[in-house]
Amino acid sequence: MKVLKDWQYAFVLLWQTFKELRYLPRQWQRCIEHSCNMGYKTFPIVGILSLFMGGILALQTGYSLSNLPGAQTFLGSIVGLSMCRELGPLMTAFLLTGRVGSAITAELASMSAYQEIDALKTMNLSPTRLLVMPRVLGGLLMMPLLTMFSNVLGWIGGWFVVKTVDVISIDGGTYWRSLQQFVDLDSLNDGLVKAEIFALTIILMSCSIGLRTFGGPREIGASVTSTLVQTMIAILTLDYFVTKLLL
Amino acid sequence: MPIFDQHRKAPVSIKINGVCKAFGERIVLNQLNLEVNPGEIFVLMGPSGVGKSVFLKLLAGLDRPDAGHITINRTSLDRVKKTNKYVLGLVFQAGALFNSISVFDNLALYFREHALYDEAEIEKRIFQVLHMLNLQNTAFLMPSNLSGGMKKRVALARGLLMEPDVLLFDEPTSELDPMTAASIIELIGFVNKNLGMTTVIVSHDIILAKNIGTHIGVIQNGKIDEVYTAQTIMCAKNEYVKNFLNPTINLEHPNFLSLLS
Repeated sequence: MKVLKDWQYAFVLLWQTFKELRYLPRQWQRCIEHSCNMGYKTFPIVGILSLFMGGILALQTGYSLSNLPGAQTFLGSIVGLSMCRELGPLMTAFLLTGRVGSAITAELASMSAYQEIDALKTMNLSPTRLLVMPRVLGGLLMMPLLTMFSNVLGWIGGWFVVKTVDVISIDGGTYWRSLQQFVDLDSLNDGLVKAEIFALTIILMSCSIGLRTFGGPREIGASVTSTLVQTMIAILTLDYFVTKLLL
Repeated sequence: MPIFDQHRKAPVSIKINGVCKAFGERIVLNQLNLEVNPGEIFVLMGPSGVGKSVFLKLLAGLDRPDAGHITINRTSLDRVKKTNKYVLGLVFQAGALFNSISVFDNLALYFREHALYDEAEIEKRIFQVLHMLNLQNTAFLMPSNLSGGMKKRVALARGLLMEPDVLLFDEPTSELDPMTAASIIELIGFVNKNLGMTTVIVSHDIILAKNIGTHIGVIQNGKIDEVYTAQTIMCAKNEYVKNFLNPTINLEHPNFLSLLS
């Protein structure tokens, strides 16, 4: 029941955010602040994880294909497509949920518990305008950049494994040629569409759960957990349906 | 130049008619009726957990009653909030200052978001109010660096800067030492006397009620049966009110003795 209410309120927030867009000129500074917070601090961890993810993918696939003569020449396309269509957006979304979504819920839940949200309302200021809209726009702005960064680092991780692991018999040039041959603009776009949908889900769910938290530290902790669980399930569910639509 | 025009607006009256509020099975406010006259200080008293803060939330438009009406100068509260016809300021018990921004930014937020004045005017107004409340040195501190009394005064400054028609206070003297509490009482009295805004205070503090309250109500079973003045409340006939104001201390209470047996 509570989960349904969280989703319901997330949709309400989406609609309210849309209506509040007319106040964007006065909120652009907050949007930039949130973009920097979300992006700047998430880039390093996205980079490290993507590098290893690409490397692991190349290693596992390269090892499995080593018995099939000539199959390793497709390694670049496998890593390239997996990263840009699936792993890049998905992994970035999970990282953003853990690093940014939980922080948003904790911050808004504390504001709610300590009556700061009520204080905004008594000043006739919309919490959606001041707290939700800048975060949604910040997320929508940074998620594609983070995803592209993740894709590129994943590809580089794969290339590094190709170059250094003996069991993989192709050279770096073959890897990149295969990657270029199969990764087209449509594949990249599909990944970015997913990234934007995930970003919207993460920010709206985090805000929805945070703003509806009442009580003290125990409830704030429970809300953060709820955000992580609900958002990750939502991301995977949405991923399936969006993939089906885009294929 | 003073920032508050003492005769800017006529004080407003508040009328509360048959307001009910329940949380599940628990009825908190039950057919509550009350009239607050223009420019007066109404103090609502009562033990903890009887619905004083709920009453204040309803009055501030933060929650809606299950039944009944609240009107300000005969305009319904819903309409007041929608049209911003009258401004309501609420000073929260713990201040409810925004912890991530400085005191100055806390005070400037209302002006900036409603685009009321330019930055120079905002600064002038904020420093005048901070000076009046003896807080001029705290402008660029973060709320976490302020004491409880300072937080309450900053919250009062935020309420005042909005130039409200109705100023609401939730336990303004709770958790303060007697000296600081007295200074807060003086401030509320001064502001009301000189700016004439209708004020509603929810408090346990009989010293506050006796010193600045024009009328005092005690909430009992979700309603206010009788409204007193500072003079009449001390000789109230109602047993509940008498017990609330002069609680008897019984060190030989049977509940305590049962712990020993």
